[in-house]
Amino acid sequence: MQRDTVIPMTSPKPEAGRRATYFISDLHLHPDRAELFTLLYDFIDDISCDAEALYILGDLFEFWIGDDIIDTPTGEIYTPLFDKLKSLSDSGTKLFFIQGNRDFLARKKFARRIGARLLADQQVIDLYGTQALIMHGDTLCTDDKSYQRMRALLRNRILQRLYLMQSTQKRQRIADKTRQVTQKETGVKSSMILDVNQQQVEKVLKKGGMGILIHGHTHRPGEHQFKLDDQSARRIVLGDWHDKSSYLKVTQENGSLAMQLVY
Amino acid sequence: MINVIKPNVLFIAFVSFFILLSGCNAQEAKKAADTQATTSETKSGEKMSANPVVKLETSKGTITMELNAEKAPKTVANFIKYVEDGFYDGIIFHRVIPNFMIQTGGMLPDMTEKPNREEIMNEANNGLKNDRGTVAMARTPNPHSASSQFFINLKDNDFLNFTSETQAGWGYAVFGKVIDGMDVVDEIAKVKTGHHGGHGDVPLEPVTIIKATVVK
Repeated sequence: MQRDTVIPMTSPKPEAGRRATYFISDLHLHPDRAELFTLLYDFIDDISCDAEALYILGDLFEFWIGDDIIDTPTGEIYTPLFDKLKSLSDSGTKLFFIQGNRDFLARKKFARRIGARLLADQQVIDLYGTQALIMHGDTLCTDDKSYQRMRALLRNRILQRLYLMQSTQKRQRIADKTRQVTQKETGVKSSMILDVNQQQVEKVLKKGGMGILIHGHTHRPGEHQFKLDDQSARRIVLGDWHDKSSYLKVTQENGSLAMQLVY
Repeated sequence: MINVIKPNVLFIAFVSFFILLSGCNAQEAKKAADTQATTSETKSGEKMSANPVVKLETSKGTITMELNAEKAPKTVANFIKYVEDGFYDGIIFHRVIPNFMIQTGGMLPDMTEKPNREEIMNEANNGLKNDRGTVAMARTPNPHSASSQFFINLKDNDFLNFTSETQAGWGYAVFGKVIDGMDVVDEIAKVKTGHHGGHGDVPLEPVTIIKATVVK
């Protein structure tokens, strides 16, 4: 789904000291990867003083089987994390979440629990006066036709409803099996297919009339500069997390945007 | 690997909606590499040495670890019991991440988890750091959830160190270090990995602990 509403940057008078906007994605949190929770807790602590906003651009979870596990024994492993994110939100950092291809079932209840606003798949935001387009990034990989077909199925609301009616154990088994198969597929697809399609990138930017695109999903962090109708355009890709955090920090310096990509 | 799943129409319907390929790779266990004949004595029942030494004979070679019973008494006692019970014999290194760590102590080659004993208290506040070559207990995000799984740090992983007795700060309990066979650890770190049995970073060809013994 796409909406044209632009998310305003901040309240007119941001709290003194809060002058940075952070973007993260692709943590793929899973109980087997306890160290990722440690990294995320540290990251939240590190940004808590200067973050006026934190955008989570999808795949926060390795797989999210449904909002009904929140604050239940099945989902208790996430409770301390949710508490920490909610505290961050309560302390003045605006939290935003875009669903990824692994956690597309993280919806309103999840967003409310962590004190975040759930955004559309493709969202325009105002970054200190400059408009930027943000998204998870899987919709840009148009060369991967088999993935795009599967995505259409996964995002089908009727199928999602049927899935969510299953027990948590069954949902987890389906999730594990799906991951196993898609990982195997990813192993055989060429690296060209797995990256974004440049024409698609230009198309979405031109449609909105923007020059900045921020996304994750491909696990190929970096910044790409290119020309769009004689204007400079930038595409910033967030990195996935392993033994250190990865994020984009945006501030305003001397009237222009300063972007620091860490990975 | 053979999937043992009861036929279930709804389950199959979902899987057929969500998958485009089927089948799974058959994994062949790697034959054991040549190991030196050693005379090792298990000292169960006798008083544990202050610094017990445990030898892991793996399919890639032998790793020898010296444990610190003074700084991590509960962790070392728990670990020695698993060794003496033969728990680790036949277990695989199920999680290998280059430049981070190699993890083992809980999965069989078919990726089923061996049932372990109760969880132990986290002893990460013992001053020992997760430096390269140290051995530490794996756990879930719950600070006191370690049982049998452990890992060997491939570099100084400072972010895993204890900082405070909070959910976020507890860290990972270091209880020993590799004193011989770090080259074997580095070899294991280089193996090709993929997704298997619902987990990622799994060596495509299983790396197994053939036998774990207490040598001192």
